[in-house]
Amino acid sequence: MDIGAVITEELEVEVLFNIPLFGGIPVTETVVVMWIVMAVMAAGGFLLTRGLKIENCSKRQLIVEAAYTKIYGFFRDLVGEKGEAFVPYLVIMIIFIGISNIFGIFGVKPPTKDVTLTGVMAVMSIVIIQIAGIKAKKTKGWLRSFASPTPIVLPINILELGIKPLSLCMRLFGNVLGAFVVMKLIEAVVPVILPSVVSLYFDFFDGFIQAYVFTFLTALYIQEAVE
Amino acid sequence: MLNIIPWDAVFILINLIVLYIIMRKVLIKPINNIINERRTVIESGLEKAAASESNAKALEKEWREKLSKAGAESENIIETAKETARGEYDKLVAEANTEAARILRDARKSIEDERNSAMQGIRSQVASLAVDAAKKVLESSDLSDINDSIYEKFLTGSGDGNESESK
Repeated sequence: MDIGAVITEELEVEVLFNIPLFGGIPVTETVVVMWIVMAVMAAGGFLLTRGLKIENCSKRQLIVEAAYTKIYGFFRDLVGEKGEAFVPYLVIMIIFIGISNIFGIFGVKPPTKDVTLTGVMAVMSIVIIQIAGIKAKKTKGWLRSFASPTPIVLPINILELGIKPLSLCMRLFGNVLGAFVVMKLIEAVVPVILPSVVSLYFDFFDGFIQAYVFTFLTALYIQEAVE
Repeated sequence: MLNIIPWDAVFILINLIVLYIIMRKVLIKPINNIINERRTVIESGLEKAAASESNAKALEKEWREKLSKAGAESENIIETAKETARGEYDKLVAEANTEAARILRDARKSIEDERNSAMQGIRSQVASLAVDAAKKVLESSDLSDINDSIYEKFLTGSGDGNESESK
């Protein structure tokens, strides 16, 4: 088996169909799987938050509230008081990345395996980080923050605008792609039992860790920007 | 190798924004709402509890004051009642004493009067008896010239003697 060929094949993003507008808009597998993830998340969110009560809560509500409060509190502590407005974004992102990462177990390509998706998310994150900085320090303070602590670091700070999202994007993409490729290889060598065990690590553990790392770093950058 | 399709990025961006809006509406908002609602309910409950507690404490203080006042007052009332009762008792006893003395005096006086009038009656009767007796003696012995007044005198004198004896 040619590993190079496998990796090249996995890097390809399949175009599932074309929307016959403007000479054909290609819709890739990533986008379609994303729609599924979005549908799952919306349905899950809707089902979990039905009939919430102030008193005599159901077990479901208690679990949902406890989990939400825990995650919210975690990000709230990370970004600080000034960045609290961005906590919902981080909560939604960690859920989305987590679910996307484990979508490989259903035999489809996880959307986070597409570098376009991780790239867009990383760009979104860096834009939100800058918005947070502008909101917290006003435009003047935000511009000045590039030259702090000393003006010498100005080029490095500007470089960081590109480095931060690039590292976010590549870390997530590389991990998910790597996990996916390793899983494919293991499945090719030992088709039974072993893949299910190893998938616990590569799909679930690594998937959640990467979701955690992506949002954790974004939260840290936001905190840095608003302080 | 990495095939980046521009439309892919556009779709993904739109998807992410839509996802954010949907999840905010479906997941974040309801949970936040319910948590905030519960917080306000609990806070207002705590406030109410604190208010009623301070109210209860004020009432308790008031009652304590009233109770201590009531104790003093009741002692006061008992004291004055005793005082009044003692005065009344003394007055009644004094009245009874004077009444008794008066009754005794009246009784003595009426006894005296009774005796005096009885004496008077007896005296006159004895006088008429003596006269009768004397008449009868005189009828038999003709001593008619002996005057009634002599007996009267004699008897009054002996009556006085009796009176002085009885005293």
